[in-house]
Amino acid sequence: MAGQRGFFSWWFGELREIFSGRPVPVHALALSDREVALLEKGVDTPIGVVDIESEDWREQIEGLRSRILRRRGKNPIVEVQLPSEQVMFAKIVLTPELKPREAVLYQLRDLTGQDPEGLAFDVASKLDAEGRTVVAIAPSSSVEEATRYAEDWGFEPVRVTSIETPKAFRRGPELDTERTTSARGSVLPKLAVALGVIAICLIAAAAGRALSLRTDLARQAEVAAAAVEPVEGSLQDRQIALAEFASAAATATDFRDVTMPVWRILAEAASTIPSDVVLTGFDYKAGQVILRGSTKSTVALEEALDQSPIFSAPTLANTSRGRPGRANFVMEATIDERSIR
Amino acid sequence: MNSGGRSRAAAMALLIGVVAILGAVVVVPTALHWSKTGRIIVEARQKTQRADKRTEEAQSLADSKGAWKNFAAEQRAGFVLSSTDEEGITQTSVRVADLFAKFNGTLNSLNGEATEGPRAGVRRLNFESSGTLPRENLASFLTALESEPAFLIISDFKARTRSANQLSISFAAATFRLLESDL
Repeated sequence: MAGQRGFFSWWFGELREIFSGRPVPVHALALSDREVALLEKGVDTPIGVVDIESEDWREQIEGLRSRILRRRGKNPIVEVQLPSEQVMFAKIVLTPELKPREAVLYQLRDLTGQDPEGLAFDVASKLDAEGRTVVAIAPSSSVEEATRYAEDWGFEPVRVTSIETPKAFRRGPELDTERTTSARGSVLPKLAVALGVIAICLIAAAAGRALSLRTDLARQAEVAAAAVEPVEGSLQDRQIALAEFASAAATATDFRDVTMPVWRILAEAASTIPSDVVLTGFDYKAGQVILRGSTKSTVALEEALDQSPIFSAPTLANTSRGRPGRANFVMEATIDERSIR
Repeated sequence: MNSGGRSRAAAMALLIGVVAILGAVVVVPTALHWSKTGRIIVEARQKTQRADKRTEEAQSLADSKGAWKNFAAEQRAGFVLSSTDEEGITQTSVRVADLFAKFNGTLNSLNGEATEGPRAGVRRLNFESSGTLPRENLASFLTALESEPAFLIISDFKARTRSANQLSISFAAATFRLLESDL
């Protein structure tokens, strides 16, 4: 249980720091009795070390400052590390009923023999197996003096810690809690987080709405599909039956349209044959017509029939002498059924 | 990177991992549900469209059927409008007799019989007739016989001069009767 609490304490602490937007120093000013060192924090590599007993130590510090100043354009943010002899680490048992800092305050006088008012301290969040934790204590005057020095040298100190740090403090104790808590963080990370959360909420709301609508749509489509009453029987059979009926229903008109009517053959004969022809008989059967009568000239009759669009291939089947100047004839001709169209 | 940097990176990586897992937990079922509802919608719409199309086709067939039935029931279709062959023969015989009378002719004989029609659902009514007509009325008689419904299709026709103004005619003709349909 304690392990889980410790894990979440670490995780949320780190996340709070990441998203707090507070400036995170990448350089550290490590102070000691005789030297001031400027360190690259990530790799713990010294950028430069200045001996404060040298004559030009202030120029040297300015030189160090200017080296990192070129990268930022304003006073470089630094972490001030106090020499180890100015910071005391002690393991204490915290009173569970009190907050850690309050619990430590009660024990400071016993631990240091000094007035707690003149001390700065930090409490490690981790507890060991016996419920003890590590406390870092330094004189407030040392903390303030170190801060003032850093500011005088043109740096912007954002935290004060110790050169030597027990494992209980991951990034060293925070000995200047006022400065740490009052350091204003950038609003950008918070804004980004807020926008991210809003975006996630909006996306979630839109997705939920879309899902809801789609589910409704699916339900409506299913209901509509279920409500459909399918047409019974085979449409193909109906089509075939309809086609057969249509064919039957058109029988009379079809036959009339393709059969040459007798009245038309008679009308054509009346208009075609020469005026001297006297018809005594007219037979029509199966596309064949037989004309009987008398005429002055069977040749003229034959020619006249030949010129008709209805009659074709007129043939004189029989002829006999009739009254003087006339001949009895039997003339056959074929009816051209195409002429009906 | 020192221990502080590593710790911060680990916390951030853990956060990203948790967010990714939570996102996957939400997104995967959502995507599956989305896909499933999509399939349901597509299938239901296809079913509805198929049914609609079939209904339209059935309606179109019904409309065509109605139109053909109406056509067949009208005189312009050229059928003898009777429910039996006998009735059709009688109806046509009366019509032919009337035409002979109308054009001042005399009907000598008229026989009718029903046979199988040229197409399914159609009966053919064959007639043989003979009589006399004034010469000047032959064309009108034939026009009325052949061109006015119910159409008589003449397949055999003979005309002989009987006197100066009278013709003796005989003809074989057919007319059609539409049988009842199950349509």
